[in-house]
Amino acid sequence: MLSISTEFIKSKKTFAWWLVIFGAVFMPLFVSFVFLSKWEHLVPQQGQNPWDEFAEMSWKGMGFLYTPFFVVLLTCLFFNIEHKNNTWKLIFTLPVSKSTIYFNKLFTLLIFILLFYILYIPIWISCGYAVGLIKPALQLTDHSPDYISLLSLCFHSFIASLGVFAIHFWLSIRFKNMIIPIGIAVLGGIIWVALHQGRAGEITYFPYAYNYSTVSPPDWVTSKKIGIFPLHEIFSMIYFIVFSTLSYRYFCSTTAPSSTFI
Amino acid sequence: MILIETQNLDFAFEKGDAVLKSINLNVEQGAIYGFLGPNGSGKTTTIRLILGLLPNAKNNIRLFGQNLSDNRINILSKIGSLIEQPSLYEHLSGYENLEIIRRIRNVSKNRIDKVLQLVDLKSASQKKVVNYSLGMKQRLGLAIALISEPELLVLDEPVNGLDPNGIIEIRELLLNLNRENGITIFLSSHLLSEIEKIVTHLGILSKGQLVFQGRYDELTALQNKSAMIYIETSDNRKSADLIEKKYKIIDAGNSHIQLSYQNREQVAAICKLLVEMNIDIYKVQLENNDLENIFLDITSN
Repeated sequence: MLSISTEFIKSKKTFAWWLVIFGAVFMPLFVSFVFLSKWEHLVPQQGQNPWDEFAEMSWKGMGFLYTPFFVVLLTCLFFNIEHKNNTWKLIFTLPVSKSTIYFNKLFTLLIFILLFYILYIPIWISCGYAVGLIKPALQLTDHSPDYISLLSLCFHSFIASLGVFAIHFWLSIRFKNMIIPIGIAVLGGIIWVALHQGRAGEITYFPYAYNYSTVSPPDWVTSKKIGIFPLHEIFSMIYFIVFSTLSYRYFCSTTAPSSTFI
Repeated sequence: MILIETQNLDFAFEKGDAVLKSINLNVEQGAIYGFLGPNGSGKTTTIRLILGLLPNAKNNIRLFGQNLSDNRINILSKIGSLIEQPSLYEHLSGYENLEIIRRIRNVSKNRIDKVLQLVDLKSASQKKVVNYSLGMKQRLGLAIALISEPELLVLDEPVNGLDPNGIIEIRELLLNLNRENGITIFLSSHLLSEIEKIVTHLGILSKGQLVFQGRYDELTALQNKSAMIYIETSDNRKSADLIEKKYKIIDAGNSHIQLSYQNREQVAAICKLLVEMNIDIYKVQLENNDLENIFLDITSN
Protein backbone atom coordinates (compact mmCIF):
# COMPACT_ATOMS: atom_id res chain seq x y z
CA MET A 1 0.00 0.00 0.00
CA LEU A 2 2.89 2.30 0.81
CA SER A 3 4.26 1.98 -2.70
CA ILE A 4 0.83 2.56 -4.25
CA SER A 5 0.77 5.89 -2.41
CA THR A 6 3.97 6.83 -4.27
CA GLU A 7 2.20 6.21 -7.57
CA PHE A 8 -0.44 8.74 -6.53
CA ILE A 9 2.27 11.27 -5.61
CA LYS A 10 3.82 10.77 -9.04
CA SER A 11 0.48 11.42 -10.72
CA LYS A 12 0.04 14.76 -8.90
CA LYS A 13 -0.03 17.80 -11.17
CA THR A 14 -0.41 15.58 -14.25
CA PHE A 15 -3.20 15.49 -16.80
CA ALA A 16 -4.22 12.04 -15.52
CA TRP A 17 -6.23 13.58 -12.67
CA TRP A 18 -7.87 16.12 -14.96
CA LEU A 19 -8.75 13.30 -17.31
CA VAL A 20 -10.60 11.45 -14.53
CA ILE A 21 -12.50 14.60 -13.53
CA PHE A 22 -13.14 15.73 -17.10
CA GLY A 23 -14.17 12.21 -18.14
CA ALA A 24 -16.68 11.95 -15.29
CA VAL A 25 -18.12 15.43 -15.87
CA PHE A 26 -18.17 15.57 -19.65
CA MET A 27 -20.98 13.18 -20.57
CA PRO A 28 -23.50 14.23 -17.83
CA LEU A 29 -22.92 17.89 -18.77
CA PHE A 30 -23.23 17.16 -22.48
CA VAL A 31 -26.46 15.18 -22.02
CA SER A 32 -27.81 17.92 -19.71
CA PHE A 33 -27.10 20.44 -22.43
CA VAL A 34 -28.97 18.27 -24.97
CA PHE A 35 -31.94 17.87 -22.56
CA LEU A 36 -32.09 21.61 -21.94
CA SER A 37 -31.79 22.61 -25.57
CA LYS A 38 -34.11 19.92 -27.01
CA TRP A 39 -36.44 19.58 -24.04
CA GLU A 40 -39.62 19.86 -26.12
CA HIS A 41 -38.82 16.50 -27.76
CA LEU A 42 -37.89 14.85 -24.49
CA VAL A 43 -40.96 15.49 -22.34
CA PRO A 44 -41.92 12.02 -21.06
CA GLN A 45 -45.15 10.26 -21.97
CA GLN A 46 -47.63 9.35 -19.28
CA GLY A 47 -46.12 6.69 -16.99
CA GLN A 48 -42.65 7.04 -18.46
CA ASN A 49 -39.60 7.68 -16.24
CA PRO A 50 -37.58 10.52 -17.85
CA TRP A 51 -34.47 9.20 -16.12
CA ASP A 52 -34.49 6.19 -18.48
CA GLU A 53 -33.95 8.48 -21.47
CA PHE A 54 -31.38 10.54 -19.53
CA ALA A 55 -29.53 7.31 -18.60
CA GLU A 56 -29.66 5.80 -22.09
CA MET A 57 -28.28 8.91 -23.74
CA SER A 58 -25.52 9.23 -21.14
CA TRP A 59 -24.45 5.60 -21.24
CA LYS A 60 -24.44 5.39 -25.03
CA GLY A 61 -22.20 8.45 -25.12
CA MET A 62 -20.05 6.92 -22.42
CA GLY A 63 -19.75 3.63 -24.26
CA PHE A 64 -18.68 5.48 -27.39
CA LEU A 65 -16.06 7.68 -25.69
CA TYR A 66 -15.06 5.80 -22.61
CA THR A 67 -12.85 2.86 -23.62
CA PRO A 68 -11.18 4.22 -26.71
CA PHE A 69 -10.39 7.57 -25.19
CA PHE A 70 -10.54 7.64 -21.41
CA VAL A 71 -8.97 4.25 -20.58
CA VAL A 72 -6.39 4.46 -23.36
CA LEU A 73 -5.36 8.05 -22.63
CA LEU A 74 -5.23 7.46 -18.89
CA THR A 75 -2.99 4.41 -19.29
CA CYS A 76 -0.71 6.21 -21.75
CA LEU A 77 -0.43 9.31 -19.58
CA PHE A 78 0.27 7.27 -16.49
CA PHE A 79 3.20 5.39 -18.05
CA ASN A 80 4.40 8.52 -19.76
CA ILE A 81 5.34 9.90 -16.33
CA GLU A 82 8.15 7.33 -16.16
CA HIS A 83 9.03 7.36 -19.87
CA LYS A 84 9.20 11.15 -20.14
CA ASN A 85 11.26 11.66 -16.98
CA ASN A 86 13.51 8.70 -17.79
CA THR A 87 12.85 7.39 -14.29
CA TRP A 88 12.70 3.66 -15.08
CA LYS A 89 16.41 3.43 -14.28
CA LEU A 90 15.76 5.06 -10.89
CA ILE A 91 12.88 2.69 -10.10
CA PHE A 92 14.82 -0.38 -11.22
CA THR A 93 17.73 0.47 -8.92
CA LEU A 94 15.49 0.67 -5.86
CA PRO A 95 15.25 -2.33 -3.53
CA VAL A 96 11.80 -3.36 -4.73
CA SER A 97 10.92 -6.42 -6.75
CA LYS A 98 9.79 -5.88 -10.31
CA SER A 99 6.52 -7.67 -9.65
CA THR A 100 5.76 -5.19 -6.84
CA ILE A 101 6.41 -2.30 -9.22
CA TYR A 102 4.20 -3.94 -11.84
CA PHE A 103 1.27 -4.59 -9.52
CA ASN A 104 1.54 -1.10 -7.99
CA LYS A 105 1.08 0.37 -11.44
CA LEU A 106 -1.73 -2.03 -12.35
CA PHE A 107 -3.69 -1.45 -9.13
CA THR A 108 -3.17 2.32 -9.22
CA LEU A 109 -4.62 2.51 -12.71
CA LEU A 110 -7.56 0.30 -11.73
CA ILE A 111 -8.17 2.63 -8.76
CA PHE A 112 -8.11 5.59 -11.16
CA ILE A 113 -10.75 3.91 -13.33
CA LEU A 114 -12.88 3.14 -10.28
CA LEU A 115 -12.48 6.77 -9.17
CA PHE A 116 -13.92 7.77 -12.51
CA TYR A 117 -17.12 5.81 -11.73
CA ILE A 118 -17.20 7.07 -8.14
CA LEU A 119 -17.16 10.62 -9.50
CA TYR A 120 -19.48 9.87 -12.41
CA ILE A 121 -22.40 8.58 -10.32
CA PRO A 122 -23.03 11.68 -8.13
CA ILE A 123 -22.26 14.06 -10.99
CA TRP A 124 -24.72 12.28 -13.28
CA ILE A 125 -27.47 12.28 -10.61
CA SER A 126 -26.83 15.95 -9.77
CA CYS A 127 -26.96 16.93 -13.44
CA GLY A 128 -30.27 15.08 -13.90
CA TYR A 129 -31.87 16.83 -10.93
CA ALA A 130 -30.42 20.20 -11.98
CA VAL A 131 -31.95 19.77 -15.46
CA GLY A 132 -35.26 18.82 -13.78
CA LEU A 133 -35.16 21.99 -11.67
CA ILE A 134 -34.39 24.20 -14.67
CA LYS A 135 -37.01 22.51 -16.90
CA PRO A 136 -39.80 21.13 -14.67
CA ALA A 137 -41.63 19.89 -17.79
CA LEU A 138 -39.03 17.13 -18.11
CA GLN A 139 -40.31 15.77 -14.76
CA LEU A 140 -36.85 14.63 -13.68
CA THR A 141 -37.46 15.90 -10.14
CA ASP A 142 -40.76 14.02 -9.97
CA HIS A 143 -39.07 10.68 -10.59
CA SER A 144 -35.96 8.91 -9.31
CA PRO A 145 -33.20 7.28 -11.29
CA ASP A 146 -32.96 3.50 -11.21
CA TYR A 147 -30.04 3.25 -8.77
CA ILE A 148 -29.70 -0.52 -9.07
CA SER A 149 -29.45 -0.28 -12.84
CA LEU A 150 -26.99 2.61 -12.50
CA LEU A 151 -24.67 0.61 -10.22
CA SER A 152 -25.06 -2.48 -12.37
CA LEU A 153 -24.14 -0.55 -15.53
CA CYS A 154 -21.10 0.91 -13.79
CA PHE A 155 -19.99 -2.58 -12.78
CA HIS A 156 -20.53 -4.12 -16.21
CA SER A 157 -18.95 -1.13 -17.94
CA PHE A 158 -15.88 -1.60 -15.74
CA ILE A 159 -15.71 -5.31 -16.60
CA ALA A 160 -16.16 -4.53 -20.31
CA SER A 161 -13.24 -2.08 -20.15
CA LEU A 162 -10.77 -4.54 -18.65
CA GLY A 163 -9.79 -6.06 -22.01
CA VAL A 164 -8.84 -2.76 -23.64
CA PHE A 165 -7.23 -1.63 -20.40
CA ALA A 166 -4.93 -4.69 -20.27
CA ILE A 167 -4.02 -4.37 -23.97
CA HIS A 168 -3.04 -0.73 -23.50
CA PHE A 169 -1.30 -1.43 -20.22
CA TRP A 170 0.93 -3.84 -22.15
CA LEU A 171 1.38 -1.42 -25.05
CA SER A 172 2.27 1.45 -22.71
CA ILE A 173 4.98 -0.63 -21.06
CA ARG A 174 6.26 -1.91 -24.36
CA PHE A 175 6.35 1.39 -26.23
CA LYS A 176 7.88 4.58 -24.91
CA ASN A 177 6.27 6.53 -27.73
CA MET A 178 2.68 7.41 -26.73
CA ILE A 179 1.61 7.78 -30.34
CA ILE A 180 1.80 4.01 -30.95
CA PRO A 181 -0.83 2.93 -28.37
CA ILE A 182 -3.02 5.92 -29.17
CA GLY A 183 -2.79 5.11 -32.89
CA ILE A 184 -3.78 1.51 -32.19
CA ALA A 185 -6.76 2.74 -30.13
CA VAL A 186 -7.89 5.04 -32.95
CA LEU A 187 -7.61 2.15 -35.40
CA GLY A 188 -9.53 -0.04 -32.93
CA GLY A 189 -12.25 2.61 -32.75
CA ILE A 190 -12.53 2.77 -36.55
CA ILE A 191 -12.74 -1.01 -36.85
CA TRP A 192 -15.38 -1.09 -34.12
CA VAL A 193 -17.55 1.44 -35.97
CA ALA A 194 -17.15 -0.57 -39.19
CA LEU A 195 -18.11 -3.82 -37.43
CA HIS A 196 -21.08 -2.10 -35.83
CA GLN A 197 -22.27 -0.55 -39.07
CA GLY A 198 -21.81 -3.88 -40.88
CA ARG A 199 -23.67 -5.70 -38.10
CA ALA A 200 -20.77 -8.16 -38.00
CA GLY A 201 -20.94 -11.06 -35.54
CA GLU A 202 -17.19 -10.72 -34.96
CA ILE A 203 -17.96 -7.74 -32.74
CA THR A 204 -18.13 -10.22 -29.83
CA TYR A 205 -14.39 -10.83 -30.18
CA PHE A 206 -13.38 -7.21 -30.66
CA PRO A 207 -12.44 -5.59 -27.31
CA TYR A 208 -12.83 -1.97 -28.43
CA ALA A 209 -16.57 -2.68 -28.93
CA TYR A 210 -17.23 -4.16 -25.51
CA ASN A 211 -18.16 -1.05 -23.58
CA TYR A 212 -20.76 0.00 -26.12
CA SER A 213 -22.01 -3.60 -26.31
CA THR A 214 -22.60 -3.48 -22.55
CA VAL A 215 -24.67 -0.28 -22.60
CA SER A 216 -26.39 -1.07 -25.88
CA PRO A 217 -26.24 -4.82 -26.64
CA PRO A 218 -26.14 -5.43 -30.42
CA ASP A 219 -29.29 -7.30 -31.49
CA TRP A 220 -27.51 -9.33 -34.20
CA VAL A 221 -25.26 -11.29 -31.86
CA THR A 222 -26.18 -13.86 -29.26
CA SER A 223 -27.51 -12.55 -25.98
CA LYS A 224 -26.17 -15.63 -24.23
CA LYS A 225 -24.88 -15.03 -20.71
CA ILE A 226 -22.53 -16.96 -18.47
CA GLY A 227 -23.76 -16.20 -14.97
CA ILE A 228 -24.38 -12.47 -14.86
CA PHE A 229 -21.92 -11.75 -17.66
CA PRO A 230 -22.76 -11.44 -21.36
CA LEU A 231 -20.35 -13.28 -23.66
CA HIS A 232 -18.37 -10.16 -24.63
CA GLU A 233 -17.68 -9.37 -20.95
CA ILE A 234 -16.33 -12.90 -20.50
CA PHE A 235 -14.04 -12.22 -23.47
CA SER A 236 -13.06 -8.90 -21.92
CA MET A 237 -11.91 -10.76 -18.79
CA ILE A 238 -10.02 -13.29 -20.93
CA TYR A 239 -8.27 -10.45 -22.77
CA PHE A 240 -7.44 -8.94 -19.38
CA ILE A 241 -5.85 -12.16 -18.12
CA VAL A 242 -3.93 -12.84 -21.34
CA PHE A 243 -2.54 -9.33 -21.81
CA SER A 244 -1.82 -8.82 -18.11
CA THR A 245 0.21 -12.04 -18.15
CA LEU A 246 2.03 -10.84 -21.27
CA SER A 247 2.85 -7.45 -19.80
CA TYR A 248 3.85 -8.97 -16.46
CA ARG A 249 6.28 -11.37 -18.10
CA TYR A 250 7.70 -8.61 -20.27
CA PHE A 251 8.05 -6.16 -17.39
CA CYS A 252 9.71 -8.63 -15.03
CA SER A 253 12.13 -9.96 -17.63
CA THR A 254 13.40 -6.59 -18.82
CA THR A 255 16.44 -5.15 -17.08
CA ALA A 256 16.79 -1.74 -18.64
CA PRO A 257 13.37 -0.38 -19.51
CA SER A 258 14.30 3.06 -20.74
CA SER A 259 16.97 1.84 -23.12
CA THR A 260 15.09 -1.09 -24.60
CA PHE A 261 11.61 0.42 -24.81
CA ILE A 262 10.85 2.15 -28.06
CA MET B 1 36.20 -6.27 2.28
CA ILE B 2 35.68 -6.00 -1.48
CA LEU B 3 32.38 -4.22 -2.16
CA ILE B 4 32.34 -4.44 -5.94
CA GLU B 5 33.93 -7.37 -7.67
CA THR B 6 33.59 -8.41 -11.29
CA GLN B 7 35.31 -11.39 -12.84
CA ASN B 8 35.98 -11.31 -16.56
CA LEU B 9 32.96 -9.16 -17.14
CA ASP B 10 32.05 -9.01 -20.82
CA PHE B 11 29.15 -7.28 -22.47
CA ALA B 12 27.91 -6.74 -25.98
CA PHE B 13 24.64 -5.24 -27.12
CA GLU B 14 22.59 -7.34 -29.50
CA LYS B 15 24.17 -7.53 -32.94
CA GLY B 16 27.01 -5.29 -31.82
CA ASP B 17 30.70 -5.45 -31.03
CA ALA B 18 31.84 -6.17 -27.48
CA VAL B 19 31.43 -3.07 -25.31
CA LEU B 20 33.28 -4.57 -22.33
CA LYS B 21 36.08 -7.10 -22.48
CA SER B 22 37.06 -9.11 -19.45
CA ILE B 23 36.71 -6.42 -16.80
CA ASN B 24 38.00 -7.38 -13.35
CA LEU B 25 36.96 -4.63 -10.98
CA ASN B 26 37.89 -4.64 -7.32
CA VAL B 27 36.50 -1.84 -5.20
CA GLU B 28 37.50 -2.00 -1.56
CA GLN B 29 35.33 -0.84 1.31
CA GLY B 30 36.08 2.74 2.32
CA ALA B 31 37.62 3.68 -1.03
CA ILE B 32 36.76 6.51 -3.33
CA TYR B 33 37.19 4.67 -6.60
CA GLY B 34 37.47 6.82 -9.69
CA PHE B 35 36.32 4.98 -12.79
CA LEU B 36 37.92 6.83 -15.65
CA GLY B 37 37.70 6.52 -19.37
CA PRO B 38 36.99 8.56 -22.47
CA ASN B 39 33.42 8.91 -23.66
CA GLY B 40 32.21 5.65 -25.17
CA SER B 41 34.78 3.52 -23.34
CA GLY B 42 32.09 1.53 -21.51
CA LYS B 43 31.84 3.27 -18.12
CA THR B 44 28.06 3.68 -18.10
CA THR B 45 27.59 0.14 -19.42
CA THR B 46 29.72 -1.17 -16.54
CA ILE B 47 27.71 0.85 -14.03
CA ARG B 48 24.42 -0.34 -15.53
CA LEU B 49 25.64 -3.92 -15.22
CA ILE B 50 26.71 -3.37 -11.61
CA LEU B 51 23.25 -2.03 -10.78
CA GLY B 52 21.44 -4.80 -12.64
CA LEU B 53 20.12 -2.50 -15.35
CA LEU B 54 21.58 -4.64 -18.10
CA PRO B 55 21.35 -8.42 -18.42
CA ASN B 56 24.39 -10.35 -17.29
CA ALA B 57 24.06 -14.01 -18.16
CA LYS B 58 27.41 -14.99 -16.63
CA ASN B 59 26.49 -13.98 -13.06
CA ASN B 60 30.01 -12.71 -12.49
CA ILE B 61 29.19 -9.56 -10.55
CA ARG B 62 29.45 -9.66 -6.77
CA LEU B 63 28.55 -6.80 -4.47
CA PHE B 64 29.04 -6.89 -0.71
CA GLY B 65 30.34 -10.43 -1.24
CA GLN B 66 27.00 -11.56 -2.70
CA ASN B 67 26.02 -12.50 -6.21
CA LEU B 68 24.03 -9.63 -7.74
CA SER B 69 21.45 -11.68 -9.60
CA ASP B 70 20.62 -13.83 -6.56
CA ASN B 71 20.50 -11.03 -3.98
CA ARG B 72 19.33 -8.05 -6.03
CA ILE B 73 16.98 -6.48 -3.49
CA ASN B 74 19.27 -6.93 -0.49
CA ILE B 75 22.22 -5.48 -2.43
CA LEU B 76 20.24 -2.54 -3.83
CA SER B 77 19.05 -1.64 -0.33
CA LYS B 78 22.69 -0.80 0.53
CA ILE B 79 23.39 1.23 -2.61
CA GLY B 80 22.58 4.79 -3.57
CA SER B 81 23.07 5.57 -7.24
CA LEU B 82 23.04 8.34 -9.76
CA ILE B 83 23.27 7.27 -13.39
CA GLU B 84 24.12 9.81 -16.10
CA GLN B 85 21.60 12.65 -15.92
CA PRO B 86 19.60 12.33 -12.70
CA SER B 87 16.21 10.64 -13.09
CA LEU B 88 13.71 13.02 -11.55
CA TYR B 89 9.97 13.63 -11.70
CA GLU B 90 10.24 17.11 -13.15
CA HIS B 91 6.57 18.04 -12.64
CA LEU B 92 7.00 17.55 -8.88
CA SER B 93 8.97 19.52 -6.30
CA GLY B 94 12.34 18.39 -4.99
CA TYR B 95 10.68 17.50 -1.70
CA GLU B 96 8.04 15.35 -3.42
CA ASN B 97 10.74 13.53 -5.38
CA LEU B 98 12.49 12.69 -2.13
CA GLU B 99 9.20 11.71 -0.51
CA ILE B 100 8.57 9.10 -3.23
CA ILE B 101 11.97 7.50 -2.68
CA ARG B 102 11.65 7.79 1.09
CA ARG B 103 8.38 5.86 1.04
CA ILE B 104 9.71 3.15 -1.27
CA ARG B 105 12.91 2.74 0.74
CA ASN B 106 10.92 2.99 3.96
CA VAL B 107 13.18 5.47 5.76
CA SER B 108 12.17 8.05 8.35
CA LYS B 109 10.72 11.38 7.25
CA ASN B 110 13.46 13.45 8.88
CA ARG B 111 15.98 12.03 6.39
CA ILE B 112 14.44 14.31 3.75
CA ASP B 113 15.42 17.46 5.64
CA LYS B 114 18.83 16.02 6.41
CA VAL B 115 19.71 15.23 2.80
CA LEU B 116 18.23 18.51 1.58
CA GLN B 117 20.51 20.31 4.00
CA LEU B 118 23.45 18.15 2.97
CA VAL B 119 23.11 19.08 -0.70
CA ASP B 120 22.12 22.65 0.11
CA LEU B 121 18.68 22.48 -1.50
CA LYS B 122 16.49 23.22 1.50
CA SER B 123 15.39 26.64 0.30
CA ALA B 124 14.47 25.29 -3.15
CA SER B 125 12.81 22.08 -1.96
CA GLN B 126 9.26 23.26 -2.75
CA LYS B 127 10.16 24.45 -6.24
CA LYS B 128 9.22 22.26 -9.20
CA VAL B 129 12.24 20.32 -10.45
CA VAL B 130 11.57 21.51 -14.00
CA ASN B 131 12.70 24.95 -12.81
CA TYR B 132 15.95 23.66 -11.28
CA SER B 133 19.34 24.36 -12.86
CA LEU B 134 21.45 21.40 -13.97
CA GLY B 135 23.57 21.73 -10.84
CA MET B 136 20.48 21.70 -8.61
CA LYS B 137 19.16 18.62 -10.40
CA GLN B 138 22.50 16.91 -9.94
CA ARG B 139 22.42 17.76 -6.22
CA LEU B 140 18.85 16.49 -5.89
CA GLY B 141 19.92 13.28 -7.64
CA LEU B 142 22.65 12.97 -5.05
CA ALA B 143 20.15 13.62 -2.23
CA ILE B 144 17.99 10.80 -3.61
CA ALA B 145 21.03 8.52 -3.65
CA LEU B 146 21.85 9.46 -0.06
CA ILE B 147 18.40 9.30 1.52
CA SER B 148 18.73 5.71 2.71
CA GLU B 149 22.23 6.24 4.20
CA PRO B 150 23.80 3.79 1.73
CA GLU B 151 27.04 1.92 2.34
CA LEU B 152 28.00 2.32 -1.29
CA LEU B 153 27.42 5.26 -3.62
CA VAL B 154 27.58 4.57 -7.36
CA LEU B 155 27.76 7.82 -9.28
CA ASP B 156 28.00 8.10 -13.03
CA GLU B 157 29.60 11.40 -14.05
CA PRO B 158 28.27 13.26 -10.99
CA VAL B 159 29.96 16.54 -11.90
CA ASN B 160 29.08 16.46 -15.57
CA GLY B 161 27.82 19.83 -16.72
CA LEU B 162 28.51 21.57 -13.43
CA ASP B 163 30.32 24.90 -13.19
CA PRO B 164 33.66 25.01 -11.30
CA ASN B 165 31.95 26.02 -8.03
CA GLY B 166 29.46 23.19 -8.37
CA ILE B 167 32.29 20.72 -9.02
CA ILE B 168 34.12 21.88 -5.88
CA GLU B 169 30.93 21.62 -3.79
CA ILE B 170 30.21 18.06 -4.96
CA ARG B 171 33.85 17.07 -4.41
CA GLU B 172 33.80 18.37 -0.85
CA LEU B 173 30.49 16.69 -0.17
CA LEU B 174 31.77 13.34 -1.42
CA LEU B 175 34.97 13.66 0.58
CA ASN B 176 32.96 14.39 3.74
CA LEU B 177 30.63 11.46 3.12
CA ASN B 178 33.60 9.17 2.71
CA ARG B 179 35.56 10.46 5.70
CA GLU B 180 32.75 11.10 8.17
CA ASN B 181 30.22 8.44 7.23
CA GLY B 182 32.58 5.84 5.83
CA ILE B 183 30.62 5.57 2.60
CA THR B 184 32.44 3.80 -0.21
CA ILE B 185 32.15 5.80 -3.40
CA PHE B 186 32.43 4.50 -6.95
CA LEU B 187 32.32 7.40 -9.37
CA SER B 188 32.94 7.63 -13.06
CA SER B 189 34.30 10.50 -15.05
CA HIS B 190 35.88 11.10 -18.41
CA LEU B 191 38.19 13.77 -17.00
CA LEU B 192 40.92 12.85 -14.53
CA SER B 193 41.23 16.47 -13.42
CA GLU B 194 37.63 16.41 -12.18
CA ILE B 195 38.21 13.64 -9.68
CA GLU B 196 41.95 13.32 -9.06
CA LYS B 197 41.70 15.46 -5.95
CA ILE B 198 39.43 13.05 -4.12
CA VAL B 199 40.02 9.51 -5.36
CA THR B 200 42.00 6.94 -3.43
CA HIS B 201 41.80 4.30 -6.15
CA LEU B 202 41.51 4.43 -9.89
CA GLY B 203 40.33 2.18 -12.65
CA ILE B 204 41.00 3.34 -16.20
CA LEU B 205 38.84 1.97 -18.94
CA SER B 206 39.77 2.20 -22.59
CA LYS B 207 37.87 0.68 -25.50
CA GLY B 208 36.06 -1.68 -23.14
CA GLN B 209 39.21 -2.87 -21.36
CA LEU B 210 40.44 -2.05 -17.89
CA VAL B 211 43.93 -0.79 -18.69
CA PHE B 212 44.86 0.37 -15.19
CA GLN B 213 43.58 -0.42 -11.75
CA GLY B 214 45.23 0.46 -8.49
CA ARG B 215 45.81 3.02 -5.82
CA TYR B 216 46.05 6.63 -6.90
CA ASP B 217 49.69 6.78 -5.74
CA GLU B 218 50.50 3.94 -8.13
CA LEU B 219 49.42 6.22 -10.93
CA THR B 220 51.57 9.02 -9.55
CA ALA B 221 54.49 6.58 -9.51
CA LEU B 222 53.89 6.15 -13.22
CA GLN B 223 53.98 9.93 -13.45
CA ASN B 224 57.46 9.98 -11.86
CA LYS B 225 58.59 7.29 -14.26
CA SER B 226 57.75 9.43 -17.20
CA ALA B 227 59.34 12.61 -15.81
CA MET B 228 62.38 13.95 -17.68
CA ILE B 229 65.48 16.03 -16.83
CA TYR B 230 66.73 18.51 -19.42
CA ILE B 231 70.30 19.76 -18.86
CA GLU B 232 72.11 22.54 -20.71
CA THR B 233 75.84 22.97 -20.09
CA SER B 234 78.91 24.70 -21.50
CA ASP B 235 79.95 21.38 -23.08
CA ASN B 236 76.98 19.15 -23.76
CA ARG B 237 79.00 16.43 -25.53
CA LYS B 238 81.45 15.99 -22.66
CA SER B 239 78.64 16.18 -20.12
CA ALA B 240 76.70 13.46 -21.94
CA ASP B 241 79.74 11.16 -21.92
CA LEU B 242 80.13 11.66 -18.17
CA ILE B 243 76.47 11.21 -17.33
CA GLU B 244 76.11 8.15 -19.57
CA LYS B 245 78.53 6.23 -17.34
CA LYS B 246 75.90 6.25 -14.56
CA TYR B 247 72.51 7.04 -16.17
CA LYS B 248 70.82 6.17 -19.42
CA ILE B 249 70.58 9.17 -21.71
CA ILE B 250 67.57 9.49 -23.95
CA ASP B 251 68.76 12.32 -26.17
CA ALA B 252 72.07 14.17 -26.35
CA GLY B 253 71.92 16.98 -28.83
CA ASN B 254 73.84 20.25 -29.17
CA SER B 255 71.26 22.21 -27.27
CA HIS B 256 70.53 19.88 -24.35
CA ILE B 257 70.82 16.46 -22.75
CA GLN B 258 67.65 14.56 -21.91
CA LEU B 259 67.39 11.68 -19.44
CA SER B 260 64.77 9.99 -17.27
CA TYR B 261 64.15 11.41 -13.83
CA GLN B 262 64.49 8.96 -10.96
CA ASN B 263 64.70 11.02 -7.81
CA ARG B 264 66.08 14.31 -6.56
CA GLU B 265 69.32 12.68 -5.37
CA GLN B 266 69.97 11.77 -8.99
CA VAL B 267 69.73 15.46 -9.96
CA ALA B 268 72.17 16.44 -7.20
CA ALA B 269 74.64 13.72 -8.21
CA ILE B 270 74.60 14.80 -11.85
CA CYS B 271 75.17 18.45 -10.93
CA LYS B 272 78.04 17.50 -8.60
CA LEU B 273 79.66 15.37 -11.29
CA LEU B 274 79.54 18.16 -13.86
CA VAL B 275 80.81 20.81 -11.45
CA GLU B 276 83.71 18.57 -10.43
CA MET B 277 84.68 18.32 -14.11
CA ASN B 278 84.58 22.14 -14.40
CA ILE B 279 81.61 22.14 -16.71
CA ASP B 280 79.31 25.13 -16.35
CA ILE B 281 75.66 24.29 -15.84
CA TYR B 282 73.29 26.75 -17.51
CA LYS B 283 70.02 24.98 -16.95
CA VAL B 284 68.62 21.93 -15.17
CA GLN B 285 64.95 21.53 -15.89
CA LEU B 286 62.64 18.85 -14.55
CA GLU B 287 59.57 18.17 -16.68
CA ASN B 288 56.81 16.22 -15.05
CA ASN B 289 54.32 14.49 -17.28
CA ASP B 290 51.02 15.54 -15.75
CA LEU B 291 48.47 12.92 -14.79
CA GLU B 292 46.12 13.96 -17.57
CA ASN B 293 48.84 13.12 -20.12
CA ILE B 294 49.46 9.78 -18.45
CA PHE B 295 45.74 9.10 -18.58
CA LEU B 296 45.71 10.01 -22.26
CA ASP B 297 48.79 7.86 -22.91
CA ILE B 298 47.20 4.88 -21.15
CA THR B 299 43.87 5.23 -22.89
CA SER B 300 45.33 5.89 -26.33
CA ASN B 301 47.75 2.93 -26.20
